Amino acid sequence: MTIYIDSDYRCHVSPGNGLTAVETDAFDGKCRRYVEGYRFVPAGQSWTRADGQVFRGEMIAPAQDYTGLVMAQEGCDEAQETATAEMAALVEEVYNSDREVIDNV
Amino acid sequence: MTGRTNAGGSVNGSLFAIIAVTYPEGSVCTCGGKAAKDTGGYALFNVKPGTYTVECHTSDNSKSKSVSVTVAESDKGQAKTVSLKEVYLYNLGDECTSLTGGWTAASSYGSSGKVSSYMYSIVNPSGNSGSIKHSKMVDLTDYNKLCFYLLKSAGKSTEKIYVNNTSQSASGAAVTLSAPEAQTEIALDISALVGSYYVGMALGDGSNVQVAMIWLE
Repeated sequence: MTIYIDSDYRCHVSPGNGLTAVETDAFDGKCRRYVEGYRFVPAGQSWTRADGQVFRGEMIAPAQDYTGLVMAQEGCDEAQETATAEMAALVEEVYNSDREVIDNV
Repeated sequence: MTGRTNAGGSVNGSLFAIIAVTYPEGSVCTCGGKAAKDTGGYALFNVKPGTYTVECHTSDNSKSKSVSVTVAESDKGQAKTVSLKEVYLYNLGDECTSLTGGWTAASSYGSSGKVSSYMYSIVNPSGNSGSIKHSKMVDLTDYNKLCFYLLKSAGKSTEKIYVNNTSQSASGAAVTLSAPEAQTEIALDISALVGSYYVGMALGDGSNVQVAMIWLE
């Protein structure tokens, strides 16, 4: 997927001013909240933390508490499952309704 | 208590929070520019809300970390712990078992193992995998940098150093090696991680790594 990183290598899911597009499969299937909780330093580049420590890419590291990000992702996954189940139920309902109409013709 | 100090300043006699620092014995430790009263390796600084730079200096080395104490009730009366001391998870053959539970080096098709001063895993090409991992999760709360000292790596994108608390894979925080390495330190930012995690290497086709040291700072 394409993500967009800012000058501090923080991740964004939408393009914007000053953001650089990067292709990675590290966040495939992940929700916005999860992706935007990360920092992505591409290979060949390096990020200097506020305390002067230098980290070179490719590095993918949470910029927020990882447990919170995992919980956010689990919430997204659950919502996705619920939406999928509701969609399946709706399709089945329409199908049964159509069958009924056809059977009565 | 050895190394205890009030150098950080109880402001107008009122204590808000404490910054507790562990640092290498013999170093000079400071917090917000105030020095600990000795070089015993442990110091407490009374602080008011603000951001402080905690440093330790020896004749040939210095380290620093930034610590913030907020006005929030959750910080009031609490101790913020800071470690400027390296804690080894693997050190030249020492598996630091009390912390890690011991290490294993594996390869599904290739060769792997532990020799006197390093662990290694060679993964042959075509759909194979390998790993270097430990068995017991390690509390990373007080650390903000994970380091691996590699004697060697093939520089394949299939070689990843990871930190994860849900599985021993590279889906949490990871560094992907992108160029062959020899006798190099590779670091991963873990400053946002709280709690216990696995650290290790997830390996794939064509990987060839030798790990001599793993430590936390």
